[in-house]
Amino acid sequence: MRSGRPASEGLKTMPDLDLFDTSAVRDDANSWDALAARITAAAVGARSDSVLGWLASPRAAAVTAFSLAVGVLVVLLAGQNEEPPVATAREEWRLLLAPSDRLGRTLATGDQPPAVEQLLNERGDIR
Amino acid sequence: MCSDSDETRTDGELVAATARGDDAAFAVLVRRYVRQATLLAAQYLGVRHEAEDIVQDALMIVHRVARRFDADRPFPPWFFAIVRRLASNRRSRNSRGGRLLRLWWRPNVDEPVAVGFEAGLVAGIDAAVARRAMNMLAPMQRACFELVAIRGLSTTEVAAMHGIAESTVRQHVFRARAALRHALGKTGQ
Repeated sequence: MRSGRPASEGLKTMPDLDLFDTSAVRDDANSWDALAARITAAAVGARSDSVLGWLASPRAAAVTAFSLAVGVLVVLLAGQNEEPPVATAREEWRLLLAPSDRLGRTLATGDQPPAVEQLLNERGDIR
Repeated sequence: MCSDSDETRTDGELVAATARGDDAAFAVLVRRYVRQATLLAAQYLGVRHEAEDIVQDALMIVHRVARRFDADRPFPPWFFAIVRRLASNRRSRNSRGGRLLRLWWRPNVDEPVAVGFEAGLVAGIDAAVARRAMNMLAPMQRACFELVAIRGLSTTEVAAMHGIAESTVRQHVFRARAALRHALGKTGQ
């Protein structure tokens, strides 16, 4: 007969729990490696699935729409702030200040003097 | 693939790397603990494939919440507590389901049963005698004795696995040895 304290005394967890023996568990390195590989693949795969799942979620759609809206706004604002090229501005001023009749416009904006034919045809207009 | 340097990293470093998305580090962590965790879960459940499911679930939890792990604390107690909790829940569910099925549906339900003590474990002693002797031990004595004496795990490892003090493990193993020696000696006479 054994003396001393009961065998279960001193246990911190589930002293009444019956535990099975593990003789059904094969204890060779290959089976452990295979199990480890399977578990690693499952965990990594689950993370990929969760990323894809998040992308398919309504929140992801909202985030995407918001990002697109911000992007469009940024492009528009950037376009407004752009300085027009100097040559284009000068050209625009020249066109703006040019007379409204064809001859005056040709004289003011053309690089070459107007043709004689044009001067003769426009005389009636001036008068 | 993981390198030799991965194998020498501490548990805390591996968990931190896992939190940063380093799958190779996680693979090392899995290889390091899969055997102990499966043996622990098998002691709770008695069926290998269920034990493997539990270990997979536990390691997937580790993978998912790695960033919450405090690297200054030891990893095994945290991890084995997860394994024990999951195995215990599964065990409760199994027994509850088994009871319900037995009552309401069919009379003979296959529930996990304690498998026999390995034949030839104790040289020259009949397996049935050895099994009887093992079954006489208190559950935790048998569990600790099996993991230490048969599976070759250290008392430190077993203490972390079952969440008990190392001195308690040593005590269980000592008492189990004494009880087995006594029981087997008696039958041998």
